[in-house]
Amino acid sequence: MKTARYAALAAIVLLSGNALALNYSKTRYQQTDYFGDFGTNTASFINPGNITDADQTEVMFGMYSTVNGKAGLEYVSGVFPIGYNHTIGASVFINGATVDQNNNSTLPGSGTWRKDAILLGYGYRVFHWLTLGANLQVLNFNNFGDGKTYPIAADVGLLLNPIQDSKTGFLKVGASVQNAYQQPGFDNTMNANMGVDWLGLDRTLGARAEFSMIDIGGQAQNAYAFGARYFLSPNVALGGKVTREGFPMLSFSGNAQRLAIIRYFEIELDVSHDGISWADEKRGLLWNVKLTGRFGPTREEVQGSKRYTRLIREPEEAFQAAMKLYLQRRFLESAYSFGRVVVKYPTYRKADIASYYQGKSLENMEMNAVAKKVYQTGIQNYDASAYVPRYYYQLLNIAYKEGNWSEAQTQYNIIATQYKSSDIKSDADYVMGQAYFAQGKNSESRQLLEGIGKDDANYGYAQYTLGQVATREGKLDEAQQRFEAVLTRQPRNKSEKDLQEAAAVRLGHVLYSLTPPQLTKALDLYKQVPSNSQYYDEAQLAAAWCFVRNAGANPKFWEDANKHIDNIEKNVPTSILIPEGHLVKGYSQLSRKDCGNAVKSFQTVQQLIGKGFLTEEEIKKKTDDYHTATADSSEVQEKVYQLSLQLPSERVLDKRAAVAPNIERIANAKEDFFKFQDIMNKQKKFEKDKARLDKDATYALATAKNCLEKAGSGTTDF
Amino acid sequence: MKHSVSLGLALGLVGLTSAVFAKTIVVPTQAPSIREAFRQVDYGDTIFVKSGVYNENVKLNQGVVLAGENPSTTIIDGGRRGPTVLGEAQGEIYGFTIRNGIDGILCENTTPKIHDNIIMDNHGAGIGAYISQPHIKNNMIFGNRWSGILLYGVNAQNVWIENNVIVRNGYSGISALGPGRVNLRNNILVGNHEYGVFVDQEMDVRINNNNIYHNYYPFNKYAKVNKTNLSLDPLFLSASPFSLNLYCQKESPMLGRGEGKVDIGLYNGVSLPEESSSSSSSRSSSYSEPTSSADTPASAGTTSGGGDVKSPDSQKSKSKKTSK
Repeated sequence: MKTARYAALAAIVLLSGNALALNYSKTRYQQTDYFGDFGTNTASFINPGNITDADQTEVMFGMYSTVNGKAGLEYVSGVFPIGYNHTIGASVFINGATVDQNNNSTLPGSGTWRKDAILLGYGYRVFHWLTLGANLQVLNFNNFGDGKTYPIAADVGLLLNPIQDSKTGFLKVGASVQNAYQQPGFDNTMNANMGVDWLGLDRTLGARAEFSMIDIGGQAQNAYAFGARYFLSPNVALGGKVTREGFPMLSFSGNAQRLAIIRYFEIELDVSHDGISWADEKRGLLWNVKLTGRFGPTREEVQGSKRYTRLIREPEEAFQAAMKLYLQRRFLESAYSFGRVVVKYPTYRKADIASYYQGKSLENMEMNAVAKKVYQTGIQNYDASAYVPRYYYQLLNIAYKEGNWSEAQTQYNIIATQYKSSDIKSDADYVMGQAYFAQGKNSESRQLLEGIGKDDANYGYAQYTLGQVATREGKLDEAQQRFEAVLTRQPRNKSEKDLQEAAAVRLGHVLYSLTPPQLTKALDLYKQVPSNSQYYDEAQLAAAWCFVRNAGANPKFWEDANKHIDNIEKNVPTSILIPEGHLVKGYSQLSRKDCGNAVKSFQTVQQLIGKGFLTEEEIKKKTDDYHTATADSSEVQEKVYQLSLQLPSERVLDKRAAVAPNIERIANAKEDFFKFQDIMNKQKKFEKDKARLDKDATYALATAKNCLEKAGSGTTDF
Repeated sequence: MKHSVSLGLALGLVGLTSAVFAKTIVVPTQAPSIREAFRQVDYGDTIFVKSGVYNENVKLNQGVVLAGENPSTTIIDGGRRGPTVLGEAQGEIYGFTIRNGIDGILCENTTPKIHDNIIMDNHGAGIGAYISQPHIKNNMIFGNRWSGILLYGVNAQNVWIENNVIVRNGYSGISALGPGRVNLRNNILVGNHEYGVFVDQEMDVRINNNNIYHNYYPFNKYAKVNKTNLSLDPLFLSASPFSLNLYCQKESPMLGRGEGKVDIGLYNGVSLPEESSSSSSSRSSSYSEPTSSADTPASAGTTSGGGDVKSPDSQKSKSKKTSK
């Protein structure tokens, strides 16, 4: 049915090259305003700038005729909006005249004149108040037998909307140049057109005026047209106009919405009679009809759909961008970015995850206080989220890191009771097991850590801690098995590699402690520890002791022991184990009766013990410096937290930039102090061993001195 | 302010909302332009704009209130450069005429409060809300080229679009497209060139106590318009753009006919001239929940029988009842 309708329309267009029996003017046929109103969208024939005013696919059909059928002009035109600023259009115009040679003897050639046109138009909205357009037209031009056919020409035009409001009305001003370009040799006129269209008085009155300069640079003629219409309702208007050819016409227009597939339909009808014109050309009743239909989605709907599609992706893109920053360990930026996701897209399905990583980002910057706030808020805001147990887990983790055992227990209990089937439960078991171990609660620790299976990422760490628990409990066989379990796994990252190095040392110590000791195996384990390991000095010293322990059987082992001590001095010159190394060296020297050097070695031990690694002043100064540098830590953390929940306006970005140096200062101070704390911890350990070392060194020094004295007196026994 | 704070708390912005430190910047006294004023404010602050025409395109800030002195005389003119106002999460705007933008107010993935404004003569939608949860209340939305309010993918279960008067827009008064859920109540939709309310098949819209009158079509088949909705002449004080005042006359059948027994259409605009609010000036807060029957104005008296909007099935007849 629809196809038949379109076919009929096309047939009307193609077959209606009606005769036009009036005084010929070669300039006017493309200037007629029968249909080509400046103010309407598809009048690209007159002004290609007009078409951007269409907000929907529009098809227009127009026909002019006279009651005697001697004149006719038809066109069909279509406009298609693309995006917000682009519009394309196409039109087919059919003009024709067959003149009576007897009555028009001045006309050249045969009696047929045709000027049909196919136009392709494009309009671009440069600004909302300015549109530029251009047409490319192919003409079928037959000027009474001597004209050229199929010349190509182009028009340009613009449309201004200087005023657009309900009070003063809606004003459009159009200007165009027809045939601004035409194929060389084609002598059609170049014309300038201008039109003004206004709709005002609360959209009840429309007025239009048109002016054309025809054949610019040639035999210029001017043409005028004007008209007005009054809207009885938004859907019905009556009016009148005077055409360029001087015909006063009565006009009617009516429109309807949503007629089946036609979203908007308009009919415009103009009628007149030749008898009332200045030059009565006996055409009788004159009429124009113009039908306009709009189809498909409006620009609003198309743009809306595109915008929706873009926006539906926006949260995901923002989330991924934040995650990328997080994975790059740019935690401050990721905290802000995840915060933006949380605030900007509160209904986004991953808002809970974004909140979680916002907390993790802060936690990674040691901003535990505000990270806790994020997790606690997450628990409140996303209470149905699968991430709730993870929030609790992070709270547990922070409590563990801070040594807040009661808080850790509280958070763990929540996970263990409310989320026991959660995938985070085994992680929670591990952390709580570590917390118990740190508190010396061996059986509680054992209970949780033994539940961690081999497939769990924490398995190796759990086995290591269980090995330590077993060592504490004196269960050396079990400890051996636990550490071996760590060592038999393939490390997947540096952390696991570090763990294995630690396990190798611990296992070595276990083997060393067995009765009888398995020194060879222990030595092999110590030797596995590379020089860049944090356990290297401990492994080297232990290796040295392995040789010392067997040196009675083979004096050469003293040299081997010395080599390991040298390794410590060479690779870890600040090691707290160096005094003990000197003790081993002294024993070695003494065994070789190198009493002088042995005395020196034991004296070195005593000197190092007396000196210590850090003075009280150093510790105090460092601690004071740290407290000074981080005095505003809580305040800065709070600022960062608040800024992470503010969308990045210009002012917020300024504030973020202002707080950044403080964050860096505090982070550096913390990093320095953590390193210092490591040294202090070693100092504590050193202090613990000091008495034993001092006692050993004092005794050995006395022996060495005795040896030296005997050597001086010629006695070799000692 | 109060509402910014409450929303802030919901998002955990406890520290941001310390009203003690909130400040007010006056435009043009303390800042020459609205945009400049936004550079000086923080979450919880207010920008107060005195009467005048401000040729700007404004982006709201999170948690900042943008308040106009008088909606009739405090004008933001978007100059057709883009949206006149761009919404932002927890931003709030009231007391302005918002005109001559592409969209009047554009909300993308955001949650602003828009109330007591005149939104007219924009070249796209009056308010375009995409995947947002805007509170849209007590606005006059007039003569925009596209829809009065376009809601696209809006999922606003607890957010209401209420007490707006939406008149003579180029397409529908309210278009609700894409998947989502929207609540419409107590709005007046008059003379819009397509539908009063247009609802997409994917959209679930609760439509209660609205007056849908003299639009080309009242609503489409997916709009579930129940018997609480009316189709009556609202008796505006003036629907002429030369003296636009879309408050209702004292005799209006809109009074007390809304959900919660409040008026349908504009009521008690805190920033609107008192004389404009002829019917129900006794209320004090534009954001109080209209649930108390004690707030019912005494002037409400018309019955709903004759003016009820027809059911969706009967819309093809294009009947527009004007019972009074």
